[in-house]
Amino acid sequence: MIELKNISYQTDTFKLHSISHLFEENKIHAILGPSGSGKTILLELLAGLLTPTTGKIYYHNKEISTLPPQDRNIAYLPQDNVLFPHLSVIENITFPLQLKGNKNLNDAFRISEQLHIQHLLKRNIQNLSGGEIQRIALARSIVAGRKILLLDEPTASIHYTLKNEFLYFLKDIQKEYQLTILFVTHDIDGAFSIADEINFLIHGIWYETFYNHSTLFIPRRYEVAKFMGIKNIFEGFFSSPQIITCPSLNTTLQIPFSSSSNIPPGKVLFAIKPEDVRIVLPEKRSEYQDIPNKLIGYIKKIHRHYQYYNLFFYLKDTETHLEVYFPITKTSKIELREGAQIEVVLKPENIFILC
Amino acid sequence: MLPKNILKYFPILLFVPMIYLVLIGSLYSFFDKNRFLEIITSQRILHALKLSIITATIVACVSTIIAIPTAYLLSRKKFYFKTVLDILIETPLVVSPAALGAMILVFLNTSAGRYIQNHFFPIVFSVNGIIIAQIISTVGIAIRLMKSIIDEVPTRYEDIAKTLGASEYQIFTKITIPLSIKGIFAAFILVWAKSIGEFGATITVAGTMPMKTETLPLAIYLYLSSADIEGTVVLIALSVWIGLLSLSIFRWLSHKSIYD
Repeated sequence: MIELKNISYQTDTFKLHSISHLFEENKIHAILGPSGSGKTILLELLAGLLTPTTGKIYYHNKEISTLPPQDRNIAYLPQDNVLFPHLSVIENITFPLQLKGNKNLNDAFRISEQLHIQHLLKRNIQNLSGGEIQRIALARSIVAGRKILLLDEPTASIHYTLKNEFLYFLKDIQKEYQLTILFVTHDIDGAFSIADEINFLIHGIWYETFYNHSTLFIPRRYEVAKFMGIKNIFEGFFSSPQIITCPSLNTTLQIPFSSSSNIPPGKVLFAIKPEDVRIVLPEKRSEYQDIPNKLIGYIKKIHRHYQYYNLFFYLKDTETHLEVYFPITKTSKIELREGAQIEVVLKPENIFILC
Repeated sequence: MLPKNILKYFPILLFVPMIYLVLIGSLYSFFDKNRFLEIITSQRILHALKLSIITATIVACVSTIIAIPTAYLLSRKKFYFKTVLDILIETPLVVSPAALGAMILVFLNTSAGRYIQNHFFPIVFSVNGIIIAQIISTVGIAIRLMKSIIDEVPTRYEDIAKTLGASEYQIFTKITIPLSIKGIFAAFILVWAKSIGEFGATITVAGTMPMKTETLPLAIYLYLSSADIEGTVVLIALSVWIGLLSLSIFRWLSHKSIYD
């Protein structure tokens, strides 16, 4: 396991605030955050390419922060310039063996076969796709015997149709070689698809960690919710347990007991994901009879996406709006047009409190 | 205030290279074919040419060997007085070649200089003097060229090599040098061209003794001093050809970088 203890890093223009975290072995750890949040800096600190301003890094309880990158057993795969341009594919893969003067290339061939890149070995690196470059760089790190891999935006140069294929492949390779992988990305879906643990590093601050075995991710921090693209964030007050008064929505909302149990009375931020806002379909109106948190308003704007509509739902007599995702497959069941009056439901279990 | 459409007059500036073309072309008004054959087959000029090529090649090799590690250190490492060293390297650019040669002579008259001449090799009025004068004139430029070449190599490759277990020496030999090799060759040729045309420091330290320390630029000077215009033109044409050919090779080698 890799342990960060109060690691911080400061330059004239950026500060990575103190981070303490334990990365378990043989797992995939995603570090999510927008550009300029210090994700790459964190990887470079782990690789030994930068020296932390404060704090220490431990690997199996042994301090490695003072070791040079060569002695850390950590391979770093940056976003660009991953492969050496003056070497062919096979020379890139066998580079770690050349360093040791090892002329036995059997391991390199075996690993290339397992990573399905044996057909690329004689190729020049200039003509490779983003996915092929990443696979070759992975093979090279495995040939070097590195057990910890640091990947900086590994899917950034991969076409989105092939992105998932690469990520599943990465998961398979991680299991097969018992690797510990830390990858930084701003691709939320990619991180959730393969990572065992998802961490949020936003503008130099380590916010929260989500262990990806529970079914639903609910952000606890406002900054994380914003990064996740959750637009429906509102301010309210606890008027009584499980009841929030929201002046901007001009209503009171019920929330589940579990959300409100540890929160002191007073001002509170709460949110609901656009996909969790339910539009009451005319045919199902009776089903929603007893459900609280119904709001009436109208559609001001409709934006069509690949699989859903993004509706800007404005509440009657207010300037507040909610974003609502509505599946394209259900459009035959309701008239969707700008100006149409609709009713939406915010189910209590879908409302979550932020701090 | 500059007019807004000033850019459309910029092509006029293309006439600047034409000045050099006119100067080169004007040589042919005094060019005599028979004199050309006579001069380039004369023992004296063949010796001067051979000496120029040999000394320039030695100087380019020595300067390159010194320049590569120095440039690497200046490009990649942080150390005290780095800026001072960086400025000192440019001394040959700001001091005239004759003054540089005179500085070498002054040094050779100190006890350290006399010791070198007495215990190692003679420098003044010898071929060694040509080499020393030209190395001192070119090594700073060689370092400056090499540094800009090494600066262009993304340090990212060196970082990756480190995490794969490469030592500092392995990074230098297996990553930095191979990635800069075309630039190094190009810089070698530029230093060679600069050496073959070096005059001021060479004449000050080595003198102008035909068949001994006379290089091509010194021969041009001596022919011109004796008012032999046709002979001077032949030698100038020869040095222009050599210079332009080496610059063409430099341009060809440096036109495409390996990590494009």
